[in-house]
Amino acid sequence: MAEPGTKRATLVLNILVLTCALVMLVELYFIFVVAPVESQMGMVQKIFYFHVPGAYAMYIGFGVSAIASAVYLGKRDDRWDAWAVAGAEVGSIFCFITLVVGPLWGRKAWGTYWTWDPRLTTTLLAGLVYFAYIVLRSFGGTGEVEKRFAAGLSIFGLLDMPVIHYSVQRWRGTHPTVITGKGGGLHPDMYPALFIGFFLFTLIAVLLIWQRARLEGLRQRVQALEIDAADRGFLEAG
Amino acid sequence: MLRRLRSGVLWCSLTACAVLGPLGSSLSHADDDEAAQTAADDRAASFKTVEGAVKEDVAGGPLLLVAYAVVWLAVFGYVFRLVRLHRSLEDNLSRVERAVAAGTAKGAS
Repeated sequence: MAEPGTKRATLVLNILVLTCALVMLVELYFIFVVAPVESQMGMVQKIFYFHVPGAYAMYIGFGVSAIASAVYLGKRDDRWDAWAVAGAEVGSIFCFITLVVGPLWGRKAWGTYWTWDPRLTTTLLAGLVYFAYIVLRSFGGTGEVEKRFAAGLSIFGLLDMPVIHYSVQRWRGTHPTVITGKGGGLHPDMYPALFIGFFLFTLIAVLLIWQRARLEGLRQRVQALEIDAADRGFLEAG
Repeated sequence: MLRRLRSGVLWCSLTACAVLGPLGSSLSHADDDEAAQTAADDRAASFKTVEGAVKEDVAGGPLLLVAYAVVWLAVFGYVFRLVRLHRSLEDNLSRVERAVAAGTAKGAS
C-alpha cells in the first residue's frame, strides 16, 4: 500500500521509535540508579519522574487538539481535523496516566488515593471534556456538524489547561509544587531523571500524535473512496 | 424541753451536712479524676516504640510497580489500538479496490 506516508516519513518514524526505546532505557537507569531515594516518601517518590512528564505530555496532546481544531474551524480542512482527533486521543491517554499514577503516590504521601484538590479536580475535568470529545467523534458520525461541534469542545477543553497549571498557586490545596519557585526543589541528582523523562514523554507524545494523525488522514481518504465507489455503483452504500 | 430537742437535731443535721457534704463531693471528684486518668493512660498507651527494623505502614514498592505498569500498559495499549486501526483501514481499502476493479471490468465487458 502506497499510503500513508512516503519512505522518508517511514524512515523518520523508525528513527523516532528507536530513539524512544533508547531514551526509555536511559531514563530507567537514571531513575533507579542515579536518582537518590527520597528521605520521606522512599521509593514511591520515583513515580514523580513519570507523573510530571505525563502531565506535560497531556498538555501537548490537548494543546495540539485545540490549536488544530481552531485552524479547522477557520479553514475547514480535514487534515487539521485529523490532527485534532490525534491530539485529543493522545492527550487523553496521558491524562489517564497522570490521574492514575498520581493517586498511587498520594496513597503514600497523603494517606488517601484521591482528594478534591483544585489541581486534581481540574485535571479530571479536562479528562472528562476530552473523553466527551472522543465519544462524540467515535459515535456521533463523521459529518461536518459533528466535526465543528467537536472542534468547539476541544477549544473549550484548552481553557482548562491554564487553570490546571496555576491552580496550585492560586488556590489552597494539597498538591505539591516541587519544581516551581515556591516549591522545595529537587536534589541536584534528581534533575537528570526528570529532564530525560520530559524528553522521553515529549518524543512518545509526538510519535503517537503523528501516527494517529496519519491514520486519521488515511481513514478520511478510505471513507471518501468508499462514498465515491458507492456513488458509482461499485459498492453497496452503508 | 421539746424546743431544746429540736435545736439539737437541727444542729446535728447541719454538722453532718457540713462534714459529710465535702467528703462526698471529694469522693465523687476522685472518681472523675480516676476516669480521666484512665482515659489519658489509654491514649498514651497507643504510642509504642518500634521494635526491630522500621517498617512502613504503606509499602511504596508495590505502588511504584503498579504506577509503572499503568504507564506502559496505557502507552503500549494505545500503540496496539493504532496497529489494529491500521489493519482495519488496509482491509477496507482492499475491499474498495476489489469492488472498483470488479465494477470497472463489468462495465468494460
